[in-house]
Amino acid sequence: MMRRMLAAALMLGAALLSACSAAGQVEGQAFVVSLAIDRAADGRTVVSAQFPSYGAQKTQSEKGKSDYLVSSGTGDTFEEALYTLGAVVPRALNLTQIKSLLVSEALASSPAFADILRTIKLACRINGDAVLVVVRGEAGAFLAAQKPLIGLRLSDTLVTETDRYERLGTIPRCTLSGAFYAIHSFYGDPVAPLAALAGSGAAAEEPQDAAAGSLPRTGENRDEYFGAALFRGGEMVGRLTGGEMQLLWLILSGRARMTMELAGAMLEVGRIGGLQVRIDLSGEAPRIDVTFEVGVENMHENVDEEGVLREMTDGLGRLTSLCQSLAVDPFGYGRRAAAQFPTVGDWLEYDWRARFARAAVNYHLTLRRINV
Amino acid sequence: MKTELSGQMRGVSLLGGSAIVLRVFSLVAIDAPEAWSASWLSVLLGGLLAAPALLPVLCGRGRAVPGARRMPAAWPGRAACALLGVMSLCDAAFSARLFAALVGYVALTDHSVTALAAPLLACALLACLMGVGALNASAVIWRRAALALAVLTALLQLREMEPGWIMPILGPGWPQIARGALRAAGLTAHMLLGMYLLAGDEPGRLAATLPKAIALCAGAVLLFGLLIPAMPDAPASRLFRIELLADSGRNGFATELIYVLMIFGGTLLVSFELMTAAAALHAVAPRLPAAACVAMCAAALAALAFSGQSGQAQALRATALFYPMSLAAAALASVQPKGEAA
Repeated sequence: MMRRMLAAALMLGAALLSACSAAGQVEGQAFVVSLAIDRAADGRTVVSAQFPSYGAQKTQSEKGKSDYLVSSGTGDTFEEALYTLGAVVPRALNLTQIKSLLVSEALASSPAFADILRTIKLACRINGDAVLVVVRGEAGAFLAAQKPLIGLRLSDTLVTETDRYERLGTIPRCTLSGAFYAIHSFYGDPVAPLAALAGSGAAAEEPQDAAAGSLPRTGENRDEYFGAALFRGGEMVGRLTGGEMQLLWLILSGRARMTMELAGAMLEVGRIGGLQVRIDLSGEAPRIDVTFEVGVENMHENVDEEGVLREMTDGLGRLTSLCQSLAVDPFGYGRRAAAQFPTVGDWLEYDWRARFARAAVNYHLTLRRINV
Repeated sequence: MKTELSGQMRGVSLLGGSAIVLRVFSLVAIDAPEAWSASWLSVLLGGLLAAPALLPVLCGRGRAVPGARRMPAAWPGRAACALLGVMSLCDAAFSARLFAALVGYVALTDHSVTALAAPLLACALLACLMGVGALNASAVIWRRAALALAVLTALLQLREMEPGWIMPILGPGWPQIARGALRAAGLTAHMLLGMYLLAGDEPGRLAATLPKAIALCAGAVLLFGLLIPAMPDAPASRLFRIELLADSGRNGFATELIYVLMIFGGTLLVSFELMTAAAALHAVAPRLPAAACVAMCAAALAALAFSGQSGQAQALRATALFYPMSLAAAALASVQPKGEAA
């Protein structure tokens, strides 16, 4: 009997103990959908957050206004800017549901970016699945132009549109955690989507040769995602056009089915099966042989197969040379080469980044027609 | 009677096995990730090293007598129980604080460790008062649910796994793998001795639990290694490692599953260790009523878990000593004092 009473008291106590300190309420949080980080002209850091103003009553004059609020804070460092932002938002800034982190190209190209990413990852309790996007121009302006399209919620719009562009192959998949891992591990370099406000760059003649902001287009949606930012370690060192990114996807994944202009025709292209990569490290510089099969859907009989293959092989060669000149490995060849070393110390001593820049990389492609 | 005893042994074996899987996983994945992507090798090696700790017990004379009755029979047994009790109590406090940090990570606001750990400790005390049978039943449910959820989690995460991330195969090298293995061996060995104390020394059960638990744990650590690469310059703090654990569930649903597994399992683990500590105290001081042993151990556990002496740094320092302490406890438990019948 005594034992039962004690057990009952403990159960009651355990239930009450969970409220020993003030519980956090959802109403007390500002769930940030998107965060933008800029470097101002005076060198200070500006952090802008976009969050929903759910439940707010609008007056007649406010009917056309967005349901999302944008607040920003400025400081000498990222931490200081975030502190300022926290002081002006009337709720606790909560980054656990964030969908995208926008960073201006100027900031991403500075050595400070790696430290900022580290701070965000370690101290901000942020959703690691958020997409990291490099914005040409002001990230804050890009954030302010974001609005729900074909739907009501901005968070859905952001997720759906980045998924869509990834499927087209014109932007890479880069989560916040993925970028952090790539920067702090020793296998390869991150590649992030490139974005810009429409019309911010001179219109490109060929769409596939464009980068974000220079696509010849009009429309309601002003946010443009196209191309990629190449990082060496934690610093952005170069850009890829949308077309180059599609070629990179052929190496990164066999999932994508992309529309590409090859041999004068628009074709549906994708890698079939796995990538066979042979890496010979016996010489002073590595030799990398990459073999895979490309599937082309519903290709017209008149299309020159040899021409298609030649264009793809040449494109991959040019892309590889570009990355080698920047000493970056976005392909993941380093991850495969690391398997040939017994310990991390041996691998780091080999200095893959420097060796990859001198590597002989050969692509061997075969083509298969896929008909419905 | 025989069936009841056999059922209890099976239950304790499941409970202890689950506790080993969870505690060793939380050690190498969160608190001591020194072997990075080669942590799974540390777990396997730790399992091998833990086996000799059992040999003196399994091969000792009079092994048909249940361990709970044999270990405290004379001064060597009591000394072994004292060592085991100290280890179990300390590790229960380390685990309670670790799992409180896990709960705190998902909370919307910052809570004190007391507020987070107190319900866990209350549950553990309740479980101890209910007896080993109730805890065993929970362990059976947890093990089954855990396996199903683990498979589901792995399937959800399949696309995120990078086989290249466990390369180079030896990670930072043998010294770090061995250091991790010694910690894993210490935790495993002291829990095996705890199982022996709680339910008797049926050699087959103990011998079968060890490889199963180690294989499951090494598999879980290997899967974790496929999701998170080695990051030499990233901090090894507990909160950051918990952040990575949440990250490993880049699929949101999978993150929830991992947390459900860890938090529910944490309650079982702390309960098992508290029960072991109370049983050890009862063996050392047989005149104390069992309920008093439980209450005293629970009070000591709460004091230790709420103090700053059970954080990550203290846990790492202490768990490094568990292996030699477990070997000593096992050796003492198998000593047959002169003049005592087998």
